[in-house]
Amino acid sequence: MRRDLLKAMLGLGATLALPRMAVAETIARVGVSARDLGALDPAFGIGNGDEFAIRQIYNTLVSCPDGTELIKVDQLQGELAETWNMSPDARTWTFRLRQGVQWHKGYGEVTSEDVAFTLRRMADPKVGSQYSSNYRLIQQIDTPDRYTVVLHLSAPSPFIYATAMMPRFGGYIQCKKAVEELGDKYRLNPVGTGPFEFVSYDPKQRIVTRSFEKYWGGKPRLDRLEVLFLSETASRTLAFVKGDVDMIEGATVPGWYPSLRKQMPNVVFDFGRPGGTFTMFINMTRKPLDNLKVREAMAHAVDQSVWQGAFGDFVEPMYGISPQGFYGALQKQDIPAQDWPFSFDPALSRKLLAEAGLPNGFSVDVFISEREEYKTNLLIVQEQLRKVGIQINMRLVDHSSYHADIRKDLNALIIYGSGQPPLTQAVLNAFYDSRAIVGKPTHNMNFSHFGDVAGNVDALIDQVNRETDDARRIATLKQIQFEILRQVPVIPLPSPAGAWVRNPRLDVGFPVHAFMGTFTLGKARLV
Amino acid sequence: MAGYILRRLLELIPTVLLVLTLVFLALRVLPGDPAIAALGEYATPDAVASFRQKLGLDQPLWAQYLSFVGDAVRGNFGRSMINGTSINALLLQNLPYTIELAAAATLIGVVVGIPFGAAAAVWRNHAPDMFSRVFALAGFSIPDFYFGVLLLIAFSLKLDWFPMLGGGQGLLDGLHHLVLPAVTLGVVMAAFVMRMTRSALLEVLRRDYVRTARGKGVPEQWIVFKHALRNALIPITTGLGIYLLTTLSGTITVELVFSRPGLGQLLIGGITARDYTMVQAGLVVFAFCVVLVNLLTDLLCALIDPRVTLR
Repeated sequence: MRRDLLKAMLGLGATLALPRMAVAETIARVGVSARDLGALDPAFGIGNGDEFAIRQIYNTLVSCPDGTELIKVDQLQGELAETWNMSPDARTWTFRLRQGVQWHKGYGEVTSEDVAFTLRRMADPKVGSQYSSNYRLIQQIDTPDRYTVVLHLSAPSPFIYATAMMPRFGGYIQCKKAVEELGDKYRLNPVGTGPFEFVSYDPKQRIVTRSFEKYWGGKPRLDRLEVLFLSETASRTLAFVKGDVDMIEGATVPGWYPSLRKQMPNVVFDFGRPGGTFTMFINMTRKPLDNLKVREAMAHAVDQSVWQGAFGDFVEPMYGISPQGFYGALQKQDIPAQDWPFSFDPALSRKLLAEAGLPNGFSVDVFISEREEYKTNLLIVQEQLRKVGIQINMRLVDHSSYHADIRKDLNALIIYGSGQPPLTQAVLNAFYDSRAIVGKPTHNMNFSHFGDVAGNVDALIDQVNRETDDARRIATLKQIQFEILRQVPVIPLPSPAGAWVRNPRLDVGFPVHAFMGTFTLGKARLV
Repeated sequence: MAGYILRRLLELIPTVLLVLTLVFLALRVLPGDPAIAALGEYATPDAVASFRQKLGLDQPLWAQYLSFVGDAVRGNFGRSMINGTSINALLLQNLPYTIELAAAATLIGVVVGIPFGAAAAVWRNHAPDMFSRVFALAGFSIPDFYFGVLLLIAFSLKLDWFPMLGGGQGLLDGLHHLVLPAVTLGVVMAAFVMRMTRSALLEVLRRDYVRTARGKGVPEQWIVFKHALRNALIPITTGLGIYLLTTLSGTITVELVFSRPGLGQLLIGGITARDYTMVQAGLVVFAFCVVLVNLLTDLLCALIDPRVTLR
């Protein structure tokens, strides 16, 4: 009913929409799909709403070029860092800071002390940041002068910047003086160096920021930027159609994008790619899922093109364990023409089930988060598996319980959507290293038990994490992925883009091919 | 009367204590971890432990309970577990929006429902009665969120008569923002009041004293408005009180659809994020409203009909 309502709503709205999208000249309003703010302290901000606002207020040392997810060290653009160098053994990183960068609210100039303070704060378990593990390799931080920071790592890490010094994963540089002065109040009173300075927060309603006159990148052309919390898809869509907001976060509802695109062709769709990793892990400790033939049967029954029919451009196929745009990801041309466990072949699926002693199929109990993207993915898988005789008995639980319970190893099939730095080895570390198996003291998100069950690639993962040669690193990443995928611990699902819809009047200043939380609106203007 | 009110207010104490206990226990029984909700899916065990310690979630249940009740009795609901905002400040900021929405919806319900319900009873099986039936059927059949979105499309998006988002600033802007949400809830309430008035009035109009009054030649308008409607107001008021509680719950959906501040927004956000302190405070305030509405209903009944004694 809600989907029909959305479609009807779009239909009604489309006839009136574009000509009436007028907003105040220099105030841009952005509607995020969130009920409220979590935190504007980069150590604690989570979710798209927090991330978007934090990105506008703070800077990182380095970032991908605006609007892209180009992640290699020679592709990066400097933010607070002007230059950066890695030692040949990838154990020492030196960052030279931009001089004269000012903190908001008169907190003075950014120095190497602020950077050192930030990195130590993020790593400190007492602070309790969810990103603390991203900083575990940093053994020592030296600040030889006011503008130089030297990091000494406990192990080689050619990509340390990707998780610890870039947007989206807590890598924002914080003002030592402000954090110490404001204490707990810092959580909702951020002091950054970004293009927009925090003004106010209206709980459950909005965050208001204004352009920072002394922004090192030049004063932004938008006078104000407001982030509105619009969690209801219908309200968010209507507000956008009416022109009350200039940009909104898209909805992961089948038919939403194609309908909107068809009826409002002038609206700009910003699909951030590479998208998130949405995968279905198979808990290989459960019967009959411990049988490789059963897992292969499941894989052969799933057709990724079904998602494209439902979601259109919003999704793209994922051939390996990470989205196509991730560094080291498997591409279509890498996939063997024959004998590949993920080729869609329902007849082969039934044959494999029979060979596994399950000619009539089997049923499996699965719980899933009530969130649209989780639920919808499992429903599509459920329908496809049903056709080969595999029955998924689905139970809905709330999102928070879902995440708590899958970490207790309670589920048989685990749909998991995650935002990782666009690096295949980040996915490997989180989901396929045996030390990351759920239930272990060092656990992360290895839900399939790969490493303890059906193969182990830990040594290869360690090797690739240390590797500084690009060609060797890519080759090893591919080798690891083939070793993993042959055991079918996971069924890759199409990768969803980070999708936003924008009024054409809001010119971001560059083409957008990246997640909205990875770049600022410092160059944006209303035309 | 004063003694009665005082006694009823004192009765609030055990009721509120019971509510506090039930709310506290219900939240702890619910699955889900506020630490993961607040810190995110990638939180390390250290971060989760630190969060739990900071908020006292690592304390035994009885210690958490005593601390919660002690604070609540002093009117201190603490801070949001998710972003540290003062709950008292949030309640003060949001509660007026919910109260004005419920009050406006009730006003619409009464102003539309009673006259049309009375007309339906007086002209039974004629045009006013037919209208009342159709109106009530439509009012009861359309879900709040659907009706709200339809109103938004028609009167905000298409006609641009009313704003789409928020609660507005100042009196006039606030009223402007209030109209569509109040109509969304008020139409359903009017449907209820209409049916309630019709049936109560029909019941009274069949009584012997009405027949006697008619026999004595008392004008029909006088009979309906002076005698029948006044007597019918007792069940109508009681029903209205009960339905007002449903309307209070309905504000939750309407606040979400109209992105309007209010208690519903706080509660839903709190439940989603497992923000114990927020949900506890929100539910206690809701429970307090329920008790208060019941008290007001009883007092109103006594005011309408002097034969009703307050003991």
